[in-house]
Amino acid sequence: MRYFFTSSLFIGALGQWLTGYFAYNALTRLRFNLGYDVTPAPWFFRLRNFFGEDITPPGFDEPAMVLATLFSLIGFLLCSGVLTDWLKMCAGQRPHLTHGAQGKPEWTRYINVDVNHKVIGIQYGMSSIFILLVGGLLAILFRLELAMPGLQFLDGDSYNTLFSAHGIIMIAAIFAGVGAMTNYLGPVMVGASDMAFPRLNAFSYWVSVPSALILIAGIFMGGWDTGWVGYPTHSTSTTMAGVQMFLLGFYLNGFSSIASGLNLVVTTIYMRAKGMTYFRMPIFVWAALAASILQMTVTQTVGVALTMVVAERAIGLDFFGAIADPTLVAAGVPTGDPILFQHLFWFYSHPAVYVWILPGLGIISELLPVFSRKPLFGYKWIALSSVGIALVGSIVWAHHMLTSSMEPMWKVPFMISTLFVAVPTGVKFFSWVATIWEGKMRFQTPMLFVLGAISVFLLGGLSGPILGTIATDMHLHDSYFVVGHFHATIFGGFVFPFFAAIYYWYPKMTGRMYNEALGKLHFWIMVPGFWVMSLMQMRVGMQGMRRRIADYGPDLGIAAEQALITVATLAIGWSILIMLYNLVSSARSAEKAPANPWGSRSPEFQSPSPLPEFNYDAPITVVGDPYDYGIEDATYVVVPGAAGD
Amino acid sequence: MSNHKNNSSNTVHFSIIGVLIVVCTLAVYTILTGAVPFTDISIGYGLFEIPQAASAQAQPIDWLFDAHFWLIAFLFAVIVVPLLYSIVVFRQEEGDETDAPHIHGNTALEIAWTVVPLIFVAAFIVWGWQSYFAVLAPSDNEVTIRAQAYKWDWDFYYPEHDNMFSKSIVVPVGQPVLLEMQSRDVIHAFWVPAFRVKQDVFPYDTNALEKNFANADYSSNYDHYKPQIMRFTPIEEGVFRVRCAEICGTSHYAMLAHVFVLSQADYDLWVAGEYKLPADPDFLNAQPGDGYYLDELDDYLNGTGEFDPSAGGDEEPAVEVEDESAAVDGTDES
Amino acid sequence: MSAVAHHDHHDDHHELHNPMEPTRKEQIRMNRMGLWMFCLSEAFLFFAILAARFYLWRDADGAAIRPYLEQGPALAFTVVLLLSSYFMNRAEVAIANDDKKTFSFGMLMTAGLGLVFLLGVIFVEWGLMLPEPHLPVNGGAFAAVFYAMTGMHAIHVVTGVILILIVWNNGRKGLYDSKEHWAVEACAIYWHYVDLVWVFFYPAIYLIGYAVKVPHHSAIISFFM
Repeated sequence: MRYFFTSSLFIGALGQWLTGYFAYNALTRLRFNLGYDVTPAPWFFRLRNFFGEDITPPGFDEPAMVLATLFSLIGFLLCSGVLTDWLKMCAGQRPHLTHGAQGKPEWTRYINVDVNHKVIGIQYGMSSIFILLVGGLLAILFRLELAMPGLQFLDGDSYNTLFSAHGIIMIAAIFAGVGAMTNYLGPVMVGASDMAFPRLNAFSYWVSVPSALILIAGIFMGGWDTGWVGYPTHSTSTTMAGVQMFLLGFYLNGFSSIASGLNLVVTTIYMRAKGMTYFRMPIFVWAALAASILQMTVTQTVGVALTMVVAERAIGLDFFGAIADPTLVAAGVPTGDPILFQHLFWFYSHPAVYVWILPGLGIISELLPVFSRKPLFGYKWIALSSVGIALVGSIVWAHHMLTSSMEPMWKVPFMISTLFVAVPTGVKFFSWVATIWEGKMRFQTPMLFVLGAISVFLLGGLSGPILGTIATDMHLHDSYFVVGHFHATIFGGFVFPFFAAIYYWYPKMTGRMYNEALGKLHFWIMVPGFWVMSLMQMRVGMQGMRRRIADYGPDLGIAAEQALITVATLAIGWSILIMLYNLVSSARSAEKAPANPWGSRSPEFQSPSPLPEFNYDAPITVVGDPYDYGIEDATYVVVPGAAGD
Repeated sequence: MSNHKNNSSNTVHFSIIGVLIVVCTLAVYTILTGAVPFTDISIGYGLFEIPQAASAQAQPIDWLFDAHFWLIAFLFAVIVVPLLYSIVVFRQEEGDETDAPHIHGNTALEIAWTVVPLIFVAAFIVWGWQSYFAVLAPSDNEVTIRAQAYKWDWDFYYPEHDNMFSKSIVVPVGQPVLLEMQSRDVIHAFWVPAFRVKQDVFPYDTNALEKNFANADYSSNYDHYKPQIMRFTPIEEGVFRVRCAEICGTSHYAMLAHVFVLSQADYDLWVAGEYKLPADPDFLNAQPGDGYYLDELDDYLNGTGEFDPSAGGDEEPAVEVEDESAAVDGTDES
Repeated sequence: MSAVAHHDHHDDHHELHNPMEPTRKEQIRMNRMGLWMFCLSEAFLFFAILAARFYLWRDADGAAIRPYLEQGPALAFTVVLLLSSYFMNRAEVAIANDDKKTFSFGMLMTAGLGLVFLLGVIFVEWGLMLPEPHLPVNGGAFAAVFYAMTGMHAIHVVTGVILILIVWNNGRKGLYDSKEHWAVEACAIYWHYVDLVWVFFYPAIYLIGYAVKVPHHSAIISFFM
């Protein structure tokens, strides 16, 4: 307990809360003294707690809230100590990287600032699962509401808050999960001892924690009803006070994305082991590289879009046309345009989806050869298809706006580019099938999750073109079909591969083996549960159910399907609790795992479990191709002093 | 294993898979649509059933839906059949710890499954293009209806009938309609599932009106807006629900309106103010299906049956509704 | 050579040794690449704002327009900023030749000119502390994009000036010489980059399109007043 209360996590969170609280009070007082009416009309908000009671402090002031939230982030970063080394550098010192637990118990590394990429990867992973549980809990709450027609225990505002928070919190969880995979695996797979910028890596993680806290706090500080997209002019005019917390939390999470993406790109370029050419990297590194390039670039545009909404709300700059003035219009001064936000937002948010799924698809490609005992079919094609998906995925953004007020002729090019995404995605699917073909498959839990991922991602992929052609999208846009499609792509592209990765590298991370029976139980509850959920979501969307509605009439005849979706959601929730129990209990008492339990050729499995502090005792050398299964004595890496088994 | 033997066993595998793919495609298509292909048999339940089509625009869209269902069924079969076949046939045998054959790729195959999807993509680009512009195409004898969306309701005006105000869209069957839509506050979207078409309604405000719209006369200020346009031609008599499809706040879920598609004779009576419409159909008690009380309404409209107010709405005359709204909104049509 | 290098090895004895630790040379190579990647990333930020400018600042026919602003001061401050890049370059060249005096002078000049630019933006272009700002905050999309462009650029200038002052201070302590001056190089790249951004922003705000005068308001809202 003593270690917890002195940890970066606790002190940081405490510092964040105190900074935010005092900054808000000081700023409100300052602005009051400067003569501002701190409850002026356009910024008049009422804070409500979850039971709808008015808890607005006297003089609630949105601009002060924005600044206080930004200060609170700085408070977290300073108090957690992630900036200490950089501040020392500014003062002219050159602090050494500190390695190891510094005399404390080993577990304390995971709640303190640590520069080791494996520690950071596991930190990301634990955060991801924690945030996933929060988001899942929100989903279960509103799924219970939707199980029957009629409003049972939520009203419009609380439902809207729940689904909006579910969206953005899950996205924070997914980014953390992507961070977990790329941070833990990236450096070790290319044969490096750490990332190119270990301190920046720690910063990436520790900035995502306060941003997630801000998002979660937003639920309790009034909530917001804009969905995760936050389209103006709704987001610029809604009176639910949590919307600024949502915008800022989303925005600050971007810092984490940009920094970690940049870090991984440089690591991949410069820190590959001797002999590891680009086409000899494990396939996951290709996927992570493509995702990181996207992460590092397009994230900036959503930052601009979100800043604009924050500014429009807080200081009245007219980007999106919520505020219009007849004298200005008469003089020929342009007013804002709500569709500008959609362009800037989707220019990021569509590729963001590829940031989430590309590492997951990389995991699928990585694990299939190991469990099929066959080379990855068409390595180069799969590697380049990741880059292809990233490139094509960057020019399809307006297919989220096919029913918007864009000119019809401008929608057509986006329909065309969207359909082209099918080609590199198809290459991946066909290559996976060809990899499995004639493979001597073993069906341990990671392989099951990989196969589950393929099946679910197939569901998501096949429901894609129907949304891409404009005419059919006119029926399906903003319907529950989109919800089903989206969840299928994200579960297939991220959640299932992430779970596969957790099971697969669990012995590498902990040195112990998870419980195989519980892992299989998790799988056999989750996959059917997900199929039912997703297909039923698509079905009700086809029949006319809109997304983001708190209630639906029985006139659509979808009550039975809704109940089924809720049951399936609960099944998925329980299966994830089973996984958590498995992971926690196995970490304590399960049998010790060998260095290479799966017979993998990947370099990290040639080093002991758990991995040593610097991954390898000496630089490794790559002498062959990564997936030469089926050739007796083909060597991929030479790891000096490896404990061969 | 000799090369020759390998080839012949592969031929067997591929033949089985080819047959299974055909079977699987047909099966998946049947499950998706509820209709057995190339026959008139219906299995009564389609996973991706679409509501009954009630507009002319639904025809090109439904044709494209059907093409997509075939694509989904085929691609599903192409991936899943070999996948399951491999899992069943090639799985690791008990005690076999050896690796599988070393097949690292096949360039011809890779090119094939890059180029063949390109052909599909090209086909769907053409079909998508054609159906989209078929949906957008204007007709000669269009009637214009102006829709105003606001949190959380719809207003409709008939410029060709002296800007007549209505809380519902009322159109004669077969009459092409041009909807000009505008929003007073945030983005909304107009969607009638049975018509298939959807259009977001943006708050484009080219003359920067007062946002305090409660007292504004929007029918006369219409020209200051840049409207969004949507076309539909109802081909079935009945009542259809307009659903707002873009999240717009607290009561987004309840932002509904109705489209009454009447016969030409009934429509003329309605325009003359002599026709009764159910003013506020209580949808929570209605029957399933998007045109959910078609039968009852048909009886009601034709005077041949009883329309149960508790099941479908009350029998207030439309005129009275207009008066109420006029009082609230300050509109001055009579 | 420098004091810091000795300091490094003081409390090293209980540290774990990394067998694959990048050498200083390798690390600087990665730092350089990282900085360029950062510039690429930032390019998307400025690109997005520029896109907003060209999307919003149009008249009814779609032709580009711009707000009517005074040209003289803006041109002067632009010259100041570009001039600062020259001194930044002098400072970098000087430290590469162990000329510490010119280095210090160049760094201070750069920071000073940057500061002048910054004050110019805030007090003259924004009209802060003037009785009436040139563009009122509620001046439609003109004001919105104008403050977004100048503000986002100004934030980068502020961080640049702070970085330059930190590096100048560390240089004064003797941390940099001809062999080891990555921090100076990083400052220079960043500063030139920020200048380059202004080279794109300046014409976008002041030159492209025809000028439309923003009418004076009865009720001017200014957050900054």
